[in-house]
Amino acid sequence: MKVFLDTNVLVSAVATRGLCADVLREVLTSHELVISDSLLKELKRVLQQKLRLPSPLISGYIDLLQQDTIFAKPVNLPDVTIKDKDDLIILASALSANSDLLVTGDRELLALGKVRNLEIVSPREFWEKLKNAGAEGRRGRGKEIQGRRGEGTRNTGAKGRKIRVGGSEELETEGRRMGEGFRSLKVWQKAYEFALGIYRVTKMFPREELYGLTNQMRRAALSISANIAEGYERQHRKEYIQFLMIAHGSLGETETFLLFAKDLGYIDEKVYEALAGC
Amino acid sequence: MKTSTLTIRLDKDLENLLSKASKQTGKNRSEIAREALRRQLRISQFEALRKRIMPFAEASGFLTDEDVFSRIS
Repeated sequence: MKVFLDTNVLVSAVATRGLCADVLREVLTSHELVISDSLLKELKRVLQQKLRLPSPLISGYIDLLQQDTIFAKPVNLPDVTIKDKDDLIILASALSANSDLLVTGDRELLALGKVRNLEIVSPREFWEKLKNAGAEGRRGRGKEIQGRRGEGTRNTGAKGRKIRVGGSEELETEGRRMGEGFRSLKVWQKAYEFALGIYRVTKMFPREELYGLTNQMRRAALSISANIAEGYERQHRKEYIQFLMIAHGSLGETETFLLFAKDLGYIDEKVYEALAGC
Repeated sequence: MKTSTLTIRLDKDLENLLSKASKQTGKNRSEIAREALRRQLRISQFEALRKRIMPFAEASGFLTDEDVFSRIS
């Protein structure tokens, strides 16, 4: 499971005797911890001002939390109404990395219960959930680890080197988000953007190409995202794979047209580089 | 990335457990050992930090989870 711990839980975990320490231990042992920039900043501020910790201890903790964790990069704020703006950013961070759980002691956040696929629970609820999951959770764990390729970046090592993860998430069946459907797939979003780019670029092509290169290139480009979406909406995994293969084929087709258009001088090098780099 | 090799001795039981885990998850034994080591080191680091941080927290009046939740949102 991908778990996002709110500032108050992280503070409590390292500083007091209570359940939060066990919650963090459990996450470090068997789950994936999700963090974000704003979370770390807030944590640092609290540890400095409220707990008055010496700075080596603070940076020790911050470094530890960045080791092999998922670094969420919130893009936009979720459409929920809560008073505290900081809480909204925390929520956005947890959502952007497709976290399964947000553990917090904040009453206002807890009152939300669930936002999209993210469950918001207290440390106690987190603990009880694990207990109930019991053997079932342990059986499913192998799968979860395989399915953890989410959005965002993963940190490895204490110095915070970041490497992109993702790539094969199109096959990640566990990560399916009902309601959001294929739109939440990163690969679909990229393909969609790419098709838009191709449409814009081909607008400048000479008129005599309208039913030639322009038309073919546009159809091939749009076919990438269309096939990803069509496969995703199918019932069976194998069908999904088949459609992804078709999408991949269309990608090759589009790349060839793109190269050809560049060599013909229809598009300049810079535009080509930008589109080919998508 | 530059890597180094560590050879470790395993008794039969541990070896069996490792092979079983490898089969179940589809990861090779090195991957499992690396992940286990990484997680264990993080936990030891956490315990060491906790020991040093708790006295400061206590001095600032934070003793339990509730103390934190009531004063930090």
